[in-house]
Formats: sequence, C-alpha cells, structure tokens
Amino acid sequence: MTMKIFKNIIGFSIAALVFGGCTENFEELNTRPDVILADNLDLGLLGQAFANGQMRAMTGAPGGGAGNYQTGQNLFADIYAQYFANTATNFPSDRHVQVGGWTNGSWNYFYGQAAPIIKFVEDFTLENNLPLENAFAKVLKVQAYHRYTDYYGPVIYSNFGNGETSVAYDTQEFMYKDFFKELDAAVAVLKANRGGSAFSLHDQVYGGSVDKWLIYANSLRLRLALRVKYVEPALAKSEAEKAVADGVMMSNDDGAAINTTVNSVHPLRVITNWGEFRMSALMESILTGYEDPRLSVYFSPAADFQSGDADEAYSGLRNGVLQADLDQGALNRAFSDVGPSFLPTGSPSGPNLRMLPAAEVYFNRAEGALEGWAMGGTAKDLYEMGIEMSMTEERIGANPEQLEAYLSSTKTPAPVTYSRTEWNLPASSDIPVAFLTAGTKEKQLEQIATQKWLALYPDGWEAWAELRRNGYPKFYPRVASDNVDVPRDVVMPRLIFVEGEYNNNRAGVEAAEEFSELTSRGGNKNSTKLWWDAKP
Amino acid sequence: MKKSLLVFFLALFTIQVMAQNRSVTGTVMDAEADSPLPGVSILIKGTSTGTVTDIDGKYSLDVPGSSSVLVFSYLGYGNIERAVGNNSDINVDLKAEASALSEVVVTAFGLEREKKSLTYTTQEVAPRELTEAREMNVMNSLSGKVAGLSINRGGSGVGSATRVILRGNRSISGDSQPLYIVDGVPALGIENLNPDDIESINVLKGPNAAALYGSRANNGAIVVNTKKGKQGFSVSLNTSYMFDQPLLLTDYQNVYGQGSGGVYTPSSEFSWGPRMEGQQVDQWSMVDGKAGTTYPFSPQPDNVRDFFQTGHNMATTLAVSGGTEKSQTYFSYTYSDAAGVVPDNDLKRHSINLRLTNKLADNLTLDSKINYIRQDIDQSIPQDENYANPGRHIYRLPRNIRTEDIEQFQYVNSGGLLRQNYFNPGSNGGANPYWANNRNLRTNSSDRMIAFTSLNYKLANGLSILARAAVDRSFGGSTNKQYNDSYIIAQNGRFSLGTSEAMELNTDFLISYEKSLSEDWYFNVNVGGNARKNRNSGLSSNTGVELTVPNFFALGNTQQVLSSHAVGSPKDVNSLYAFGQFAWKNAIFLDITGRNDWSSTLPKDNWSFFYPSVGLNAVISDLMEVPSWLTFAKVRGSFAEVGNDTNPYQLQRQATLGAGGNAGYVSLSGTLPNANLLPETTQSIEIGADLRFVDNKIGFDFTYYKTNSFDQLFTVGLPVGSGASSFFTNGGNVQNEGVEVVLTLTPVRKADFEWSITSNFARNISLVKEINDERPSVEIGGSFLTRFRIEEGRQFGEVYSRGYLRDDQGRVIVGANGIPRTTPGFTVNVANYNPIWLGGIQNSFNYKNFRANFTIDFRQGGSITSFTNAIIYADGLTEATLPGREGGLIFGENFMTNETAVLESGEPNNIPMTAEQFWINMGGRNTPIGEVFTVSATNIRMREAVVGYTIPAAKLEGLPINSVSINFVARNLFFFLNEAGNLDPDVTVGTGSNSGGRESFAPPTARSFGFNVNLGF
Repeated sequence: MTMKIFKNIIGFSIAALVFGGCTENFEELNTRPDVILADNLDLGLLGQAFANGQMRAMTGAPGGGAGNYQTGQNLFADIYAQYFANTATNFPSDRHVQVGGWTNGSWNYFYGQAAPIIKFVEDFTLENNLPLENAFAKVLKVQAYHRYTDYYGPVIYSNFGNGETSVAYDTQEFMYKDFFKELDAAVAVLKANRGGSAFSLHDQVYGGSVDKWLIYANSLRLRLALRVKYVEPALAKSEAEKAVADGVMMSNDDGAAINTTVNSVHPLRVITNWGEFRMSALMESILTGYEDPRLSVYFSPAADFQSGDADEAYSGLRNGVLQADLDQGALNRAFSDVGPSFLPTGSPSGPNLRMLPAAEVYFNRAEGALEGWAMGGTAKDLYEMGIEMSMTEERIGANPEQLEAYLSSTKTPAPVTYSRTEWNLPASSDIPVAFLTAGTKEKQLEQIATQKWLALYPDGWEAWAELRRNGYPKFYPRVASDNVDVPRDVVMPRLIFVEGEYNNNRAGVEAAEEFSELTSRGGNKNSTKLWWDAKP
Repeated sequence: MKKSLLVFFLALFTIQVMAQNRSVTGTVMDAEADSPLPGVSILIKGTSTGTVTDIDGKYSLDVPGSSSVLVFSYLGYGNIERAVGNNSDINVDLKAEASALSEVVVTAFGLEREKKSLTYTTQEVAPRELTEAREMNVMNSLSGKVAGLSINRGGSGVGSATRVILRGNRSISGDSQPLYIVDGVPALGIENLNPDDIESINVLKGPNAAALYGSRANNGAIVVNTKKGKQGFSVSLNTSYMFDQPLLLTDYQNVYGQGSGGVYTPSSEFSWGPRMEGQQVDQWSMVDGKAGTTYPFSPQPDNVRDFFQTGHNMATTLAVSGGTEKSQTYFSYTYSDAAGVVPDNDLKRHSINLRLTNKLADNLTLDSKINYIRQDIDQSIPQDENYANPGRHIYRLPRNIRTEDIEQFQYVNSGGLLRQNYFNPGSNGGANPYWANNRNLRTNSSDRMIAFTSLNYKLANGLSILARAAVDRSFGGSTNKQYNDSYIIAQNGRFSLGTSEAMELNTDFLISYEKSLSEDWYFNVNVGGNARKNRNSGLSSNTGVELTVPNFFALGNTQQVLSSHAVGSPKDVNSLYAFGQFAWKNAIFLDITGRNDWSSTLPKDNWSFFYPSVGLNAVISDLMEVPSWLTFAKVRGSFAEVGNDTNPYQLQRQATLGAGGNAGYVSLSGTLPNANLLPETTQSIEIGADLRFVDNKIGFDFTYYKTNSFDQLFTVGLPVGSGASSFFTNGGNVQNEGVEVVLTLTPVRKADFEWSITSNFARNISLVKEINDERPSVEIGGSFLTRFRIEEGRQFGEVYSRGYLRDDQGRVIVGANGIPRTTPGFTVNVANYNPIWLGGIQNSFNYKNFRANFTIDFRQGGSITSFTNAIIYADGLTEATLPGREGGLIFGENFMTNETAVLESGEPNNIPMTAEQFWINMGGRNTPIGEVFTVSATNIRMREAVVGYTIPAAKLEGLPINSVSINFVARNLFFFLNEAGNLDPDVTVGTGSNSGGRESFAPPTARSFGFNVNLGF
C-alpha cells in the first residue's frame, strides 16, 4: 500500500516537473503577431518606411492624426507668420507665450517619429548599397531638419540616433553647411541616374522619378541658399547659382507636395474642424487690398456654420488678442475660416500637403536676381513668373485675363477695420502687385517676399522663417504680448529649448545653451535671433 | 477549547474504532440570540465521523459507544466538548465569541488554517459589512476597515474602478494593486462579485502572505471565499435600497456673472462680468422663442446642483442552500440596479451563482462552481479632460446661466441641422453639459464567467491529491455615439464600437501530506503545480473623422472606417511549489514555502526563477503560564521573497505597419527593448504580535514590516535624439516600511449589551532608494498641470508643477504688473499623495436584538493638485475669486498674506492687481500653476453608519419565516474635517499609479442612505 502511494507520488512529481518546465511555446507567445520586429525590416518594407518619413517630415501623421501639426506648427509658426490668428480662449501662443507642453510634444514627435524613420531609411540604403534610395533619403532629411532648426536654432542633428543617454546638439551654422554637403552627395547620385526611378510605388511626391527628385533637391538648395543670404552672402550666392545651374522647378508639375489619402489626411483638414483659429488681419489687408483671386480659395466668407447665416464678407482677426477678449464662439462667427478645400465640404483627405512649390522657386530666383546673382532671368520676370505659378496652380486656376490684370494691378494692401475700433489697423503696406521697376531694391524685395508669403500658404513653417529673415511682408503688431522678452511689435524670433530635454538630455541641452551662436545674440530666449536671421 | 482544530487534525489520522453504534440527537442553540444554530459541526472526538446541525439547529449522530466525546464547533463561536455517557439527547448552547481565537482563515487553495497558526498578517472583514452598507464595488466597502489598505475611487461614476494599495506603492511603472483570489483561484478582479455570495474576505497584506499565490501577489492579496451549500435547506432573501445624493463641496460665488473685465458678453465662459442685479441682458440661447430676446441677469445658485440627480443602488438576492451529507448545493441570483448622481449613468447587473459540493465516494470530493455575471453600464463618465465628461462643463457654468436655458441643449438651425445650444458655440474647451451627457451616448456591457471544478482524492490518511481547473473569462462590448456638433471631438458626428475579451485559465494540482508525529509534533507538507494562461484582446472600429449622414450611427455611414486590433498581453506562467508547516504543541509554528515560476515574458535564460519564504510564530500564552489578565499572546516573524515577471513583447524592438500613403506606412517603436531582462524581486520582512487582555476585552495586534522591491522592470526616458524615447530595463529599489496596529476594545460586555471598538492605524513610508545610475529620476505620467516622477532618495510619487518664482530667500517675485512671476517649467515639487498615516475606528453596539455600527476613517497627510480648481478659479466661479474684483489686491500684503512678495528690484511688492488678473494667470488649462491649486488631503470622514434590528426567532414561531433582520445604513455622511476644501480626497483621476495626487473633473462623491432587509426561510 505504502509502496503504491510512493510510486504514485514519484509518478506525479515527474509529471509535475514536465508540467512546470513546459516552455516550448514561450518564445512564440512572447512575439507579437501583428508587428514586424525592427531587426527584420527589409527591402520589402523600406518603401513603407520612406513613405512614412515623408509624411512625418511635414508633421503629418497616418490616419487623422493632427495633434502634432496643431501644437507643432499651427499654434506657433502659422500664427507667428500671421497667416492665422488664434480664437481659442485658453491658447496663449498668439501672445508670444511658448506653451511648454506643446513644444515638448512637437520635439518628441520630430525626434520620436520623423527622425528615426528617415535615419532608418538612410542607414539601411547605405548598408544595402541602394544609392538612389539613399539619395532620396538624404534630400528628405535636409527637408525635415532645415525646418526643425528654423524653430530652435541649435538642435540635435549629426548625433541623432547615437543610442547614448546624452546627445549633443549642433549649431545651426554647422547644420546649414552640412545640408549643402548632403545635397551635393544626393545630387551627384541623382545626376548619374537621370531617367531612373526608386520607391516608385511609395513615393507620395514624385512617384519615384529621379529627374523630379533632382529638380526638388536643387530647389531645396536654392531655398537654403537664400536663407543664409544675410549671414554668409558668398556661400549663398555660390549655392544659389549652383542650384539654378543644375536645374530647378520650372512649372507647377515640378512642385513638391505629398499626395494625401483618406488614410493620410492633410492635418490642417483635421484641425480646421476644431475651430480654434481664423484668418489673420494681415491676410485680410493684403488679399482684399489686392482683390486677390486667391482670397476665396484660401479663406471662406465669415459665414456662421452654427446658424447657417452667411454675410459673404472676408474678415481677418488681429493677432495676439487679449485672453479677456477672446471669445471663440463670437470670433469664429465674425471672422473667416480657411478655404473650402480644408473644410468638411472638401474632400475627406484634404488637398496635397505642400513641401516646396514651384512659385517659391521663382520668387527665390527673383530675390537672387536682385542681388545680382546668375538666376537665369531678371528680378521682374522671375517675380511675375512666381505669381503666374501661384495663380495657375490647380487650387487657384486663374485664367490668363485674371493673371494679366493682377500682374499689372496697382492696388495696395487695405486697412483693416473692426467694430471694436481700437483694433483698427492702417494698410499694412503701400506696395502694389505690379513690379516696381523703378523702385528701390528694398521695395522690390518687399514685393517679392510678400508674394512669396502669399504663394506659400498654408505652409506657415516656411513663411515664418522667411518673415523673420526678410521682415516681409510688413506685418502688424499683435494686440498684446504676454512674453516680457518679445514685445508685441516684433516677429517672434525663435522657440526656446524644450523642457523634456532638461529631464532626459540635460548635458546636451545645457551645452547647446552655451553655443556662441546663441550667447552672442542673447542666449536661449525667445527673443534671440537665429544664426541666419542677420539682415542688417 | 483552543485546541479543537488540532484535535480535528489528529482525528484524521486515528483509526476509527469499530464499536456498537447508537444514536444521539439534540439541538444546538445560540446562547445569546436564543435561536437555533444551523450548520454547527459535530464531530466524534478522535474520529473523522461527524455531522452538522440542520436549519433548526437539530442533529442526529450515530456514536460508537458511551465513551465517545462530541465536539461542537462553529466558526466565530467557541467549541464545546460533551461526553456522551448514557445520554441520547444532548443539547448545547454555543456562545459567540467577541474575538474568537480559534478563527479559521482560508488561505491558499481554499485550505483552512487556524488564525493563530499564521506567521503573517491578515485582516478579515465580516461579510455582513459588505452586504449591509452595500456598494456596487465590493472593494469600496473595505474603506477604513483594514490597517494599511488604501482605497481610492476612480472618477467615472457608477461602475468606476477602484485603486487599491496595500502597504504603499512599490512598482515604478506598474500599478502596485493587489492580487485577487476567489475560492483559491486568481481572478481578474472582484469589483462585480455579488457581496451576498461572499462567505469571507481576507486581506493578506504583504508578500509574506502571498508567496503561495505566485508573483502577482507581491503587492498583497485580497482573498475571497464564496458560499457553499450546507446540509438541510434554507432560503434567504436580501434586498437593499440606497439613495445617493451628490456631495457638492465647492462654494460658488453668486455675485458676478458672465463676461470679462466687468463687461457682459453672452458667449463668455468666464464669470468676470458685471454684478448680477437682475438687469436685462442678451439671451444666448438659440432655441426658438428665446433667440434674440433678453433675460434677467441674476444669480443662479443652484445651476450646478440642478444638473445632478438623486441616484440609487438597489440589489436583491435570492439564495438557496440545501443538501445532504454527501451533496450540497448553493444557488443565488442577484439583480442590482444602480443609477449615479449624474443622470443616465446607470448600471444593471445580473449575477447567477451555482456551487455544488459532492462527496462522490468516501475519499473523493468534487467541488465545482459556476458564476455568471452580466453587467450593463450606460453613460459611464469619461474622466479628466475628456470633452464628453459632463463634469468638465457643469462645474464651469457661469453663475447667471439659468437651468431652464442650459437644459435645452439642442435646437435645429435654419438649415435643418441639429445643433448644440451653447453660449459659446464651437468652443474648444466648453460645451453644454446637458449636450455632453445626452448627445454622447455610451454603453458598456460585460459578460463574465467564473468557473472551476476541483477534485480532492484522499489516497490514505493524511495524504490527498487535489486537481483543479478554473477559468475566469469576460467579454466586453462598448458603443459610443457622438452627435454632430460635439465640438472638437466629433464636429460631424462619430460612431464607434469595440469588443474585448480577457481570460485567465488556471490548472493546478496539489499533493498534501500531514502527520502528527507525536502528541507534540505535527507537520504537513504540500507540493503543487500551477499552469496559468492569460489571454486578452480587443477590436474596435469607428467611423473616422465624420459621418456621411448626420447622426445616423452605423459603421458604414462614412467614407473611412478605421479599425484597430489590440493583441493584448498574452502570457503563460508555469509554477511548481512546495509549502509546509511544522507545529510543536500547537503553539510554535514554522512555515516554509518555495516556488519556481517559468514565465513566457522573460528572456529564455531567465524564464525560470525561484523564490522562498519562511515564517515562525509562537503562541506564548500556550507555551507558558501567563498572568490571568493576558488571555492570549502570540509573536510572529517572517521573511519572504517574491519574484515577478513583466508584460509580454518587451524583448525586441518593434515596427508597425499602418494605413497611410499609397501602400501603407512603417513606423518604429520608440522603446528600446532589453534582451537580458531579469525578473523583479520583492523582499519582505515582517514581525508582529497579537495580544489579548482581560478576557479578550482588549486586543492589540501590531505589525512592523519592510519590503524592498529590486530589479523592477520599467522604461527609462532617453533623449529622444538618441533614436529612441526610452529603454526598458531592470533597476531600482523601492522600500516600503511601516507599522500597522489593530486595537480592539470591548468596554461593555453584558448579556444584553455589548459595545466594542475596533480601530486600525497604519503608517507607511515609501522611499525610492535607487532607480538607475544613469537616470535617477523617472517620469511616469503627466498632464497640463502636473508631472508625476519617481526620484531617487525621495518618497514615491513626487508631483511637480509650475510654482511661484522665488528669490533665494524664498520670497515670491512679482512682475511689473503686480502678478507673481511663475516658473516656466514643471520644476516645483508641489505635492505627494502618500499619506503620513491612515486609520479607522469602528464602534459597534449590540443591545438585545438591536445593533449599531459606526465607522469613521482618518487620513493624515498627503496632498492633491486640482485641475478642476485651476479651471474654475480662472473662470471666476468660486467665492475665493470675489475679493479684489475691482482691483487693489497686493500679493503678499493684503492678498495671500502667507507669502512674502518682492519686486524684481527686491523692494517689497506694492503693485495692485485685480482678482481676474491673478486667477487667470495662475489657473486655466494650458499653463496652470499647480502650487496655487494644491491642497492637503488630510480628512476625517463619517464613512458608514448602520443601525439594525433582528426579530427574535421566538416571535417568528408559527410563521413560514425563520429570521428577519433589517438595517438602516448611511455611507459617506459628512466630513469632520476636510483640508481639501471643495474636493473629496478619495477620488483620483484614474486608477493608475501616476494618478495619485491629481484631481480633474470627477463627478461628486455620493452620500448614501438606505436600508436592507434580510429574510430567512
């Protein structure tokens, strides 16, 4: 009896040990079935990674994700560029307040979502000897990082992805000079492969055409060359001339914009639903003053979607309205929303997400021509070509008569009036559309920059950079600034470093604070001008 | 008497004496209630033969001979032995013990152990405390009753989850919540168990108690045993009804109405407007007949309260128990129906429970249970800043808004579209609260099944094998219909659907052997194994940005259906373990346990990990002569180590493929994995003493403990510029050290009257001794208001926010506008939620058939930062915003005089400001200054009062009813002291560990009144 029990126990214990050690399914169970392991990413998925990188570089997101576009771009660049004015009671950035939570999120978005995927494509294509794809990635990288440094000045660039617990920043000067080198490398590859194609299924901009990417890379070089015009005039000239010589965008077909889809919607299309901003006073002054055909495309009449009453007037709000005067319901009703293509009445995916339009290239050449650079045309011709490009974009579709009338128009920006008369503004400028052939160089520059500002819409990111660099269009002072460092009558010069970096990358960010490029101009403050912001 | 259980053990090994049988009958009565006691166990001493009394307290038993001794025992009552002699009729009166020393506690695997033999701390809560002052969530009934147990309710109204912490937080990234064990089997939670089915509930506080339950019990365990059938037949009907009233604590001002700077604006969300003096102002409402009119601008003191309703909580249970000696059945059905104080927030729950206990053969017992619970919750309240949270809007109503206007939450515009009727249409932060509640319709349903079957086979005397399979499975479903014109969240309407499932499957075996080696020596040893499988997943779909046809809620009504699949977190854990106890003279007990787990979530080399525990306990009063005033004395000590695994999928970096572009987007995960993870370890030591004095009238139970949690698994933030935002790692040492005291007093104990007091006190210090060399601070949560950080060398869970900018003398620096300057980042340590101590006092009175019970609970220390206040102060809604509306507030001089304020020059501040300037700058949504909105969480609360009456059995004679008792109950009556002012410190934003210390738009706490009636047939 006892023996039998003993045997039973032995048998049971052996069974138990087998039972306890039964682990053959563990690895499978601990491998998530619906993801790819990063180590297993391969050529077959590279295109999807590149496509994501394109969207992320422009602060977009898959699906309807637009939060980072709002907090990263719309609440800063778009209102500092004076495209829009804020109506939301509890948003202070229009009064020059840098809301830390927003910039922190935007920083984490760029370095957490955009930069890694772009780096992955660049590294993978290098390791696997895919030079064309690598060249595309390099151009995309320059596109992404020049925007990012234009917010803060020094940012993380060359050390990105070092895998360390501390990551050093680069100066803006280093970055811009490196951008040109990266473009050199990419352009060399692209030139050698004219007529070729890469990422043709996934490239949302040019369907993989090497020729188009070459034109885009050169046009980007031209943009960057002008950006450094005041700080490094010689470099600017040589890079600009190199760009034009290598071939830049000549027609709207060359323009760079991401095709949006119902699964990768234009983020502005999404945030527009939230009703937190309206047309700016400056837009009203310029567009209505010029009787610009783009007005009804860029903006909607101040119709009230609540009541359905439309009064057919286009009305722009002052920037920097005091919190006590912000009254979202009333302001949204009284001022113009964005144009129909961004509203629910437009397509669900919204218009294409613009990266670099052909019009900008002509305006950049026009500015170069003003400086006497070899831009393949006169300032006047290039200026008028820029307007023509903008007016004949698919979204505007102006006919030749409209274009002709506009180009010769002597109308000037209009004053802006309000029922609250203390908000009233004089005309923002006295420049007409028609090129002031006999005008001063500065007046001509103002005309070129003003028209570029109009053509770039709604890319406030680029518009804010150019507004800072050239000081044009002549902008309106804000109603108020809540930032002691940045008065209401200047353009917000930059954003300060984000607070998360002081938690996670203290050594890196503190070293960046000491870069002479910052300290010589006032340190890590909102009032400090960026390296390229050096107009005498 | 105290040795009865040992006798019972001994009885199991003694060969039955075969002798001539004869029958003994009798009745067992409750000596005090003078009523029959059913279910009393009667055992022939020295044998395993016995019976139990029937519903009338009667029994009949064949005894082998006149030398037999009968042992009568009943849980919570003393044991009595009677020699049979020549009697054929033995009647016994059993007396309830005030504090029964022979209490039996049910531990792992449903094993019963005498409480005095335990080497660790447990605290039991009487099941009637769960059923009388009924809560929909059983855990809420434990507030204030268990030393070291901290309970916070989530803010989602009826059906809210509860945050339960025993002896402090120990997990850096996890939730530190305890493990729930139902009938010996780990369960997915007990929040929807039927309190009437609960036989006992025990709180095992430390990991010492929990080594047996496996790694998840490193935060302690809540052990619930449900009812089994008993011999005989009985029916009980218990019904309770509670009314819930909102306990609104905010003092709203009733002087100034809508507007800013003293000027009225009909669409303003502020109350910084003019005085409300009945003047006619423009109507904001767009409703036909009101649009374009005017109305008197007058204070509406009740406009917030009007939104809420009297809620209720009704439950009826029918329970049937019956059976023979070999087979017993317990069956119950409960229907609960609760409505919260927020209208339409309802919960309905059906619970069916069947328990069968069968003696299939002399040595084979089958125990099985199936419990099915269906629960439907409507309008569960979204928490925090969620736009659909009506609290976010109702607390913000300007003071002149009339209920008759705002409750008309919709209108149809000239285009025929349904529109929200709100004074600030299109607002990005506000909404009509009635619209938020009536035009964002949410349902949640769940079906849960808990079932097990267990076979116990006695191989021989003292040797048995138990095999069991148990499943806890739940299916959830949810819908959400958001109407057109729900600003921000669903401008054009949205429909979403979701389903989820969760399962825990446990299969076990346990071999037990026990033996008495001699009169003095006894041991038992058990070897067992457990295979646990956890599976869960979810699927959700929504109509994306907009509906094609407004307010038609179908998934197809869109150009873009978005679906997502949550793969959940499947894991397998296999365990082998052994535990045993050695006892000497039934007075010294030594417990040893050892367990090895294999977890699928760890790297292959670390799948397997082992952890032991040892405990020793001596009942001094049984070992030596003690003075007569010392009734009982026991000291205990134990050491335990518990290993723990982690969530799945932490070992490899992931990339996901999602929709977007021409052919999808690939994204990389921001978390770097760690292929060399180690299991977590919690080490714990505990010592304690249990002393009873003066005939049990005074009891003192003391415990000191210290736990250290090492090698915790958590993510550490990296500079995002490194290419990843965080890495997953082991590290840290979180120490919790504390004392718990339970003091029981019986000032009066007479035949008719007894007064007893139970008080508990707990002090816990959570100290983060170490995190990670490279990152001594880990941020695990944040909001616009706060950042929740774990920092080396500090208490667990420091809350940071913005604060006043101060000079090196600590003086507040005031700007040129007279407004204090504030820090731009989250650099000021403003709060820590951990209490200094927690306590509770229960007073119980029994007079004849009346009884009364009052529970008061205490919390000293800790603080809360309130997002609600940051908003409603900036809105100018509270009484505190009244002074200085016309200006003249000088910070530090005639305002906030507890601060010293200086100008940037260092001169004393003399610049006046208005209340509006101050509060708007300090509060609001995006950059609120947490320092200004932090309050102490210290409070003393009248938690519960119960007055009950039981009709004496004698009076029911001849009626078909055996017992009737009725109780009147009140819960959450009032605060004796509440330093949190307008907040209930019990309510936190959610139930995650980073929600401690932050409050945000929670619905009001309910104050409940009601009664319950219990009928026995």
